[in-house]
Amino acid sequence: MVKRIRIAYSKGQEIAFLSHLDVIRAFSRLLRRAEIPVQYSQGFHTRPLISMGPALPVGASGEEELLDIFLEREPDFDLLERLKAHAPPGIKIREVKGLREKKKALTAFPFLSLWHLEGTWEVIPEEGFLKALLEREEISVLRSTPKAVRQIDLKKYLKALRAGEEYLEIELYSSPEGGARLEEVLRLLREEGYNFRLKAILRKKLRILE
Amino acid sequence: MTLGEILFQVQKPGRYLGNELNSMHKDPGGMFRAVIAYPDLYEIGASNLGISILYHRLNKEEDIWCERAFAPGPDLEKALRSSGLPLFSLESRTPLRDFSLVGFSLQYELTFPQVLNMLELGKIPLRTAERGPEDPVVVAGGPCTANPEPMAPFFDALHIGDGEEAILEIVQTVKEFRGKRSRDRHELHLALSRIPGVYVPVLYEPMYSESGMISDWKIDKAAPWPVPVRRVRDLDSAYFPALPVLPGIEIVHDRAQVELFRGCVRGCRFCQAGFVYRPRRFRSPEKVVFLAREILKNTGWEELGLVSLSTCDYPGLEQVIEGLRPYLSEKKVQVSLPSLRADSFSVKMARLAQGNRITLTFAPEAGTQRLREVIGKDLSEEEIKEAIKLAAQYDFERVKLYFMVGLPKEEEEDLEEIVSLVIKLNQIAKSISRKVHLSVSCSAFVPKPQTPFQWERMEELHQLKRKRLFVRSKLEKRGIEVGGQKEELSFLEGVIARGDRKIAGLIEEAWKNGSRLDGWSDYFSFPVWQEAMSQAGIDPAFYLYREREKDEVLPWSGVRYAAGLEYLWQERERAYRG
Repeated sequence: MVKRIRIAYSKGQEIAFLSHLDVIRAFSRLLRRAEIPVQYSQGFHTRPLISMGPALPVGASGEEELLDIFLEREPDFDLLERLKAHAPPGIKIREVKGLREKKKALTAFPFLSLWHLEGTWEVIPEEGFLKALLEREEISVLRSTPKAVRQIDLKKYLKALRAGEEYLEIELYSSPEGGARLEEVLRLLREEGYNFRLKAILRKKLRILE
Repeated sequence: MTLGEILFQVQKPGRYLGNELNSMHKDPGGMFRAVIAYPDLYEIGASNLGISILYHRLNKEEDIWCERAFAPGPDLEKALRSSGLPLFSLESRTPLRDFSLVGFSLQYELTFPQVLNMLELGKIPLRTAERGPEDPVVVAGGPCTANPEPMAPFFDALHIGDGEEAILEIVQTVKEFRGKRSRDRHELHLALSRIPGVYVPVLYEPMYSESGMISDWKIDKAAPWPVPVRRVRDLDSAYFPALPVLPGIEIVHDRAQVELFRGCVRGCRFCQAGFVYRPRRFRSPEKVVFLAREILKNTGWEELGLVSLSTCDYPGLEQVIEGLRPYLSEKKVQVSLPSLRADSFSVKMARLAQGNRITLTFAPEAGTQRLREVIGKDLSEEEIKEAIKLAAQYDFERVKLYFMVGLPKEEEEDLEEIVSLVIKLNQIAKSISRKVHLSVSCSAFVPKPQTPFQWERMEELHQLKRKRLFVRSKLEKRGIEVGGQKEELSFLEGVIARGDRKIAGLIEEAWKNGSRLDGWSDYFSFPVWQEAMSQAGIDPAFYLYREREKDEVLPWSGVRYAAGLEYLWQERERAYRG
């Protein structure tokens, strides 16, 4: 019997500079320390099977991040307590829940993320401006990849923008097909004359859209 | 800019976090504050076992807080310089100048300019002579202190040998110094020199003759001469950390490490480690198994390295592997056995421990039996062939062979024989398995202090290049890759390794010219060093291309290892008698 477990956790500010891969590695080691009976990948460099939610960029912390693991057997201990006890500095285990086994990886879902960015404005954008911006037919920015520079439309990703003294909140949709990058939203605002000097990035909420 | 903002802009900011699992954080009140500084990037330094032992040994003491500092990446250095922020320790982000004791680890000669860089960025006066009562006491340890002279002006003291006991005595002495109102550094230096294994450069002054060689030493009457190497007698009772730091980012040796033994049972005459870590001392198999399980349990690492200078010479190896096997297979932990001898026993052990999906690395070092005997490499062609045969039979995919060029008594024939030996081995391997892939690493021999070849002249740079190119072009025609250390790095390693105190000037100029992180090929620049040599008035030929006489006063004559001068000289004569 394989049991799928969804873990909600936070990645704290003190480890914001660890990358997505670093966090995966940290969980893989946490599962070994905690002696959780997880399924391992096949092959030589065998690793615990972990299905991660959408990646946080380097520099970002997150309050309710998600990942799934797969158990080999029903644990005879309190899984939540065990995980909490072995979590490394900066990672807090919030909640665990069992799911019916499904093939679909966590990354195969669309998500809505609420980003809270701390920093300073030279000029704070007004509510009216942000509202008008979101209502444009098309919100295009340039995206450069190693191969090419192309134009993309942020319209379908951008749900809401709120700005205030020393913060910017962004609600973004993402899906396995793609999403917007925070730096693209910041560039868009900068090009409109609103420069935001970034100090910290927090994903406050991460919701699966099923 | 604040440090937090700076970290937003640098590459791999995960290097500088300092809150890894099992890292030590204490309330600073009433603590003796020490920092271990490593003159290379976190990825290298955090892999070093010696650092790990000393860090956790000091932190075991309730009234000592020891932290870590590593070389900043070039982007962080730039940001620190433009913002004026000092280089900091990872754990509490304290500027280096605010520590009572700063201890550097000297593992590789080309990292020496980075020591000066870290001192300057940490706002500590570079030279011992410039430090006052408030400045930290700056010490060093590690294998490079086998010749303490090239870095002598920068350290209050250098420790020779095993540090896990001496470090506490050094802390105690520094603590007493800090507690005195006078804080007289000369008094401090005398007190440090009374600790066995501690070399205090200001107490010894080299005098030079017109030829540039050392004619004599002016030795402080109260100082010991020569300083005897410090040794831990028994590894089972020696401290070893069961709760090592688990890095947050990937490092070069990202695995649990347990030291099987210190020293080496072989007597390869080129190998500095083989001589300076004498005598060999084994950890008991029971203790190795116990430590391995504890460390794995406390970190969750997916790999275990059983380390030593020659792993298959550990008498309890089979017992350790068998003893750990149930635990390792249940926990899905891989084992790695570095430093294998090229014989069939090693291949069997490697397969037993690791399976056949790893790269086997063997070091025949020389192409002919004659030359292997000169350098004391006790390995016959038959043994190497048997090892390769077995590796192919076991379906190993990759075998890497290490060779050196520029060895003493090397002839053209020896180079041709490297080529034909590798071709023979390749044929043997291919006749058994299609999967197996041979590659070669070929680097220059660098004569090192405290070895029988310490009097030797080093091969000239252009010859080294020609020789490697010869091996490479012949083998690459056969589809066998040949890598190895850049000859310019070996050249500089040679100048510094057997350098005297004048080399300190070269290190300083190289650092001023921008030499940093030279172990990384992206950063190394030979012209920077060439310029530094002319600025410092250093003639490399004096250090490299000169055979020393037996009675020459060597720069490292102030330190005494288990293998003394007379023994080394005899070994050298034995090498040439054949």
